[in-house]
Amino acid sequence: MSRSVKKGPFIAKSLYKKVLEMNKSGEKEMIKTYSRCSTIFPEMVGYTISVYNGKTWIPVYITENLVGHKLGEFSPTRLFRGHSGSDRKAAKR
Amino acid sequence: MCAEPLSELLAVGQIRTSHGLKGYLKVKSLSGEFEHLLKLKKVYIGVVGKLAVFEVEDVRAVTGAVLLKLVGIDHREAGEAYRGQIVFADRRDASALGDEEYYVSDLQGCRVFQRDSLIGRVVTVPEVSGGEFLEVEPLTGKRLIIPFSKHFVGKVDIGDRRIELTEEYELP
Repeated sequence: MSRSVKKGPFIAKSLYKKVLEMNKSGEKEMIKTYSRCSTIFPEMVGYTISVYNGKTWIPVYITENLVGHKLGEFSPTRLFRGHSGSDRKAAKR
Repeated sequence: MCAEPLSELLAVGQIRTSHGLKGYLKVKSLSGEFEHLLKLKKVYIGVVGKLAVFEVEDVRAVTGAVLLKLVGIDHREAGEAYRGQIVFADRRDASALGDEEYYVSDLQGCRVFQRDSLIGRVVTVPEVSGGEFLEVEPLTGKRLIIPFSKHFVGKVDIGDRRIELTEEYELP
């Protein structure tokens, strides 16, 4: 079931506070967060947020395309490694 | 940490089963592409160090796989013996690369630098729906997961087996 519109999108208060503070000061520092369920807000665009995946922090560079998604979507908890030495390709995006 | 040389053979597929009575082998592509498999003339089957060379007699495309008919494998039972084995091909016969595309096998083993200081070596390149990541074994500490994006990864020099990270990446 989708979240009620009345409540608005969820974001961890501490994370939102840090983003607003960085917006005010104009500094750009990597923010570390455990809050995978926080929604990506337009205020976060241009910042790098390190999201915990249960084992390590994975940096996520926030672009306009990511707004509205959850932070956890970009910090995978399970990694499929596939066959080593294959002709599978990796493209730099 | 010295750089390892590039491998001349790349794994292009895996044998699922034999098909029909004439010894055709059903091969699943490891890269997800099939066009290059239809042009194969010679393949190597087995594990690295113990590879058997086969001439390709015929290739057919079927849904989700290709059927390979190899010289010397002429009946179903002979094909069954190769079930699950990896099919290798020469690098020039592997699927073609586009702009800013690299074979995962070439990225594996590359040394990772930031501001000319060595951070570690790429162990694997995990495949996730949102894109690829570099899994890096650092000199000390836990393994790093770095998104393979232009924002964090700068110059990739496969010849020198060297990857430069941008200033934007901060070690956790």
